[in-house]
Amino acid sequence: MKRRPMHIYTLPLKPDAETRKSAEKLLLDETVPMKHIPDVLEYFRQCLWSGVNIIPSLTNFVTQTHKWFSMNVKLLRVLRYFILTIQLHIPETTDEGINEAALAKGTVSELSVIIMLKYLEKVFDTLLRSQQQKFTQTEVKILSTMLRWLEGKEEKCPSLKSEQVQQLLKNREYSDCPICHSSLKEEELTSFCPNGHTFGICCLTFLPCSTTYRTCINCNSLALPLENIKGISFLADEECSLCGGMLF
Amino acid sequence: MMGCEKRIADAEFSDQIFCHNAVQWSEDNRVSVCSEKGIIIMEMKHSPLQLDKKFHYNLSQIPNPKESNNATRLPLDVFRSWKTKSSNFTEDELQELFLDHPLHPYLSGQVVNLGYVRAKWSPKGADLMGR
Repeated sequence: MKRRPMHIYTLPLKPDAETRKSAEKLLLDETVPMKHIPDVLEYFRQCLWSGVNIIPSLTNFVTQTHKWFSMNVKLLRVLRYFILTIQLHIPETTDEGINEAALAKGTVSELSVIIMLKYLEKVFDTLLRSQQQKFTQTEVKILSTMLRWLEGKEEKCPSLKSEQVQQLLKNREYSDCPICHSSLKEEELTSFCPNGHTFGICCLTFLPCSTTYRTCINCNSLALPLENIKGISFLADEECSLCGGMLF
Repeated sequence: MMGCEKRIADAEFSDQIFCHNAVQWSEDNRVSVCSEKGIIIMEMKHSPLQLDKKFHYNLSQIPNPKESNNATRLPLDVFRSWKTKSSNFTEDELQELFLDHPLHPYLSGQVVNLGYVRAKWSPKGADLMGR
């Protein structure tokens, strides 16, 4: 028997201008986490698909890369959401030199690095505040990989207390390539070995994700399973460090 | 849900609605539907990676308990009508039923565990995830 679909109607609650204003306020409010406003984000996305940007100031922020690090994480996440949404409108061509899509893609990865640096700043602060002196093997691997990922990026983030974290670590230890066991190297959000094996890095620990991992429901970032990182006190947040989404 | 224009989203289910007022809308815009097979939870996706303007939902289900408390081995509808006192059995039929089936004593107020007939959302922010 053919079933009739159930219809859900979403009706307007407020006039246009008022809705846009309250949505903009919620999106820019630093104290309101992203996971608390899924409906506002969806409204923002749908407005963008209709060609309306309810936060015109965001377009200025896209080009002001030197200001990104001084922005709060919420604003950076909204900016990343904005760029990810609009880049789907830009038709891709094979010529990457003049391709707007490639530019947008570059902006997303650059922005992602800034958000991850902000995340590391928070992790290091938590670690140093806790005055933890002894570390498990997994914790050593996580901190070593974080410090290696940071190499060459310190100038973007002068407030990062990486030297103090380095002093805490007596030895450095890294994860090998899960396939050929050769050493790995991190670049942006991927980890690769000399034999061409590439892995996405965990957005919480920076370790490579191989067979089992979780995915962010919003931006598809990867994370290690909860049981692998349970009990690590300096990784307080159980949400995607890039967009604040839930990990499954 | 916020919205400046009328929008329509469709969701199609393979099983039937199980009770009156089967659809419940939560404070944070999740929808639950009591159906024959369990409670369907619809959560709106808001990923920026979606490729169109439509609403998309993640569907999940809280399945019915694997076994109902029908210890009589009667057909489910007969059991339900007997339990809910909505049957039209005559005295003779009831007598026959009692003779043919090992009916356990009827306890007034006993829950007939055949599926979910009501779902209600807890207040927003009540769980550990703050949802």
